[in-house]
Amino acid sequence: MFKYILKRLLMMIPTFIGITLVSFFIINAAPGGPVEQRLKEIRFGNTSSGGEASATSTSNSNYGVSDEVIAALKKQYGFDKPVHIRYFIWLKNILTLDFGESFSYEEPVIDVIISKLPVSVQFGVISLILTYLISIPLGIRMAVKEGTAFDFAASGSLFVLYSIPSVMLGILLLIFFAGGSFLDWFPLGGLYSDQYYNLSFWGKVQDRIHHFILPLICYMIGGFTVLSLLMKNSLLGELKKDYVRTARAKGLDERKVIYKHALRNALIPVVTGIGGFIGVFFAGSLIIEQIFNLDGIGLLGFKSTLDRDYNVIMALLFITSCVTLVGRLISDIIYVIVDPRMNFK
Amino acid sequence: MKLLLLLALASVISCNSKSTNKNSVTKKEKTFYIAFSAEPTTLNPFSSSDTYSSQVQVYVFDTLLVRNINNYKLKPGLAERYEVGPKEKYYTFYLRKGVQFHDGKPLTAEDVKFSFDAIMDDAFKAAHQRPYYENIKSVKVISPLVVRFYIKKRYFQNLSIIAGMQIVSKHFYKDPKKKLNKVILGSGPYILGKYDKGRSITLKKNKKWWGHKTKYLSKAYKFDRIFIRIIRDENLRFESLKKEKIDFVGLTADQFVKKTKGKPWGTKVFAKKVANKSGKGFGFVGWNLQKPMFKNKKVRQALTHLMNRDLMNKKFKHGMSTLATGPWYIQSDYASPRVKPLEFSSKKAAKLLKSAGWKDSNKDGILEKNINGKLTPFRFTLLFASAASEKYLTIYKEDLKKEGIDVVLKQVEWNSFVKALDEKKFEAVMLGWSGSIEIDPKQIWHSSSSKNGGSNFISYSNKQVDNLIEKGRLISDRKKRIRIFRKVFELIANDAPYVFLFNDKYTLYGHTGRMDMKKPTYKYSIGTDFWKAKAE
Repeated sequence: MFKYILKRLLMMIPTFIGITLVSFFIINAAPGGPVEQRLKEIRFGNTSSGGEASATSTSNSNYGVSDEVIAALKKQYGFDKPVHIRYFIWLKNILTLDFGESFSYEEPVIDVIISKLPVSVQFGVISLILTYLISIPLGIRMAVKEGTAFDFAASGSLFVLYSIPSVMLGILLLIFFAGGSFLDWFPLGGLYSDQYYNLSFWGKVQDRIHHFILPLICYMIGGFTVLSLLMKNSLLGELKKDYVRTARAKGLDERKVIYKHALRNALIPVVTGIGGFIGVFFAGSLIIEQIFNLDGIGLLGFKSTLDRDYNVIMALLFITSCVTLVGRLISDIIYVIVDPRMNFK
Repeated sequence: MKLLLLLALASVISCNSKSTNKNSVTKKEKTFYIAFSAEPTTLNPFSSSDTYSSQVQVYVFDTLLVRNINNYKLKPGLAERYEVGPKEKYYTFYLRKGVQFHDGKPLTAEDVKFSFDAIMDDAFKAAHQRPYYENIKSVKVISPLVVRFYIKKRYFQNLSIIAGMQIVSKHFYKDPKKKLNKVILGSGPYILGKYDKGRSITLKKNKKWWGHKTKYLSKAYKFDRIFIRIIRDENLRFESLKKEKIDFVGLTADQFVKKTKGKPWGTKVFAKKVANKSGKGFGFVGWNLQKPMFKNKKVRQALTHLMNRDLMNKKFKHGMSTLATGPWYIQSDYASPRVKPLEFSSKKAAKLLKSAGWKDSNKDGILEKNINGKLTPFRFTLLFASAASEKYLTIYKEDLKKEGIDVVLKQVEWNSFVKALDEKKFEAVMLGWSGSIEIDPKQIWHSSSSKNGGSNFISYSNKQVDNLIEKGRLISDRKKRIRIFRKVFELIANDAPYVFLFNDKYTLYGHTGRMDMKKPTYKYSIGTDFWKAKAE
């Protein structure tokens, strides 16, 4: 097993190089780099990041920008070197886990990312746990009661939930439950209120939960469906197998048949999916963060792409691919642990 | 729910450690709540370039002179007075005595010199600010409170550029390696308080500020605190005003007309519609004048006649705009009132196109013309970057089609859009310019600005316009300059290099009932700096 894991880990190295190489060159090939961003700001003011197309003529650059300014800007951002050299510099730095500095935030990239993590981690972890907590019992119940009114109703509503776009849901929830015109039950976005730091401990907890509910609904709305149906179908598959028939034939209690025998096997595909759990630390959602005014990874990724903040984009890419690859490995290892039919050969 | 509670607990604990600085707000303190739609990327006065950083900087830094927003005249700021050297070759500023930075250190001529020198120094990453100061040669300290700016080239805006330069503290900013993205230290009316990353910025009143003792600024900056919320979503900002979470928000025409009726409006929150001379922008469709298709003035005028602006104004802007007539907003002193907007008229357009030699010779519904020995159909691509442009352009496309002009609309991402402009790889574009009170047409309309990524990307060139612009730029007397630039306005309008779209008639905003204001608007601004909280 050790050998297998080592082999998998070694395999990751060329995969990484492949991922980063391709992304680095694609990002650099996209029109407009940090230098161009600055030039654009000189000419058009700073209206770009929202994608709004309006420009300012208030800046006093009277003609085109002089070559000296362009050269100075290039030096300022290290763009006086060709792209392949820059890639090697980046690769070298990454070996010491140095992600460089963000062009727009003027902070080490890693600090920028860490400062945006709490939002994503909190929502990611809570929604992951809640999803599993609700979906598994629901899936089981749907499988046991297959074909009944309950099954139809549950499947129906799951598909409805799955197809609601979270943008629309978010805005509706905010306007009806948190806005100034209808019900005023919840705060208008954010993670906590202004008085947060003056609250007692329990006050803080309440304040957090109060702020959490609406965005959490949006985060999770689509997540139930996949897992519930996976659980249902997996259990249905097991229930049709011979050993279940045998168990029933020898007169075993139906509860025992399902929960002791069938469920154990049915859980295998569901449990192994949990390997992706470390992904939740980076589970950003651009739309939800935007609507609920949360400052998380999703928004950071989007903004740095628009601003061509190369180092941030590359760091996010690097970290997410790390997380995905390690998550896969963990999934595979769990597989072997829970399913004796599998081995590393 | 238990787990949810647990995790919420965990996050409270994790954040508890940070909450050391309890801000004890006493009831008597008056706070002005405003919203930014994005967080300032960095507060560093040298390297920052976004609007939000500069808004914070305006509160924190002082400038040598300030503008009176009622008549736009320059008033003493950090400098008590100034002298203009012979032939405007230099300006000498006499600094106010006893001005201190927020850390108590005195502000001297050395700080003024440093503020300029740092921008010219590569180590401070301010290369992007240099074009703005390109006419200033150097700054010399004459005595601790006297400083002189030497000028390279005479230009009417030189004084206002120097007057508007933010004066930073030399001892605080002198090390270019210091981390400055979340700190800011100036001498201005507000001091940076708590910076809650990603959420809010608090500014505290600088009680020692020199302006409180002057007559013309004694009514300004009355709030004890300015609390800036960072609210990214437009709907959220709007709802935040309704819930009195913020005290001021700019409104769109759509919001103003459709959403300011009903409950909280008129009692707790108020919507205002004011007309003044503050800088206003305009949208436009610009033609690449290097393409043979657009070289003829008659064709461009015809293309303007086919833009049904009245309909668009009614449909999309609730009639709250006026039709633009020329290259800057018509409320501006520099705009010529003699120019009238070109009306929507397919008849006039057809006539102009015909006289320019365009006709449908092969009866395929599209006009053709023989250009350089080749029969060219009137077909072009119109690039735009903002999704909001599409509805206007769709109407335009239909009207052009009826006259035999085929236009392909293409939306591109902003970076690619700018690249197309830089490389002049476009036929037509839709974009907007924002407006400023003092106008210098050189950036957009002078033929020299068409090269090297300049803002005259459509390659507009008119000798007479060039000469007038150059002449006007040297004249410091505003009245004389207005006369010249109005002529420029007329000439450009007549050339129809753009389809000039709209100028907003009003500034629209909402505010809470907590606010007390002397008047809703000043001549050149809304004047939120002069607002104060109502007495309870």
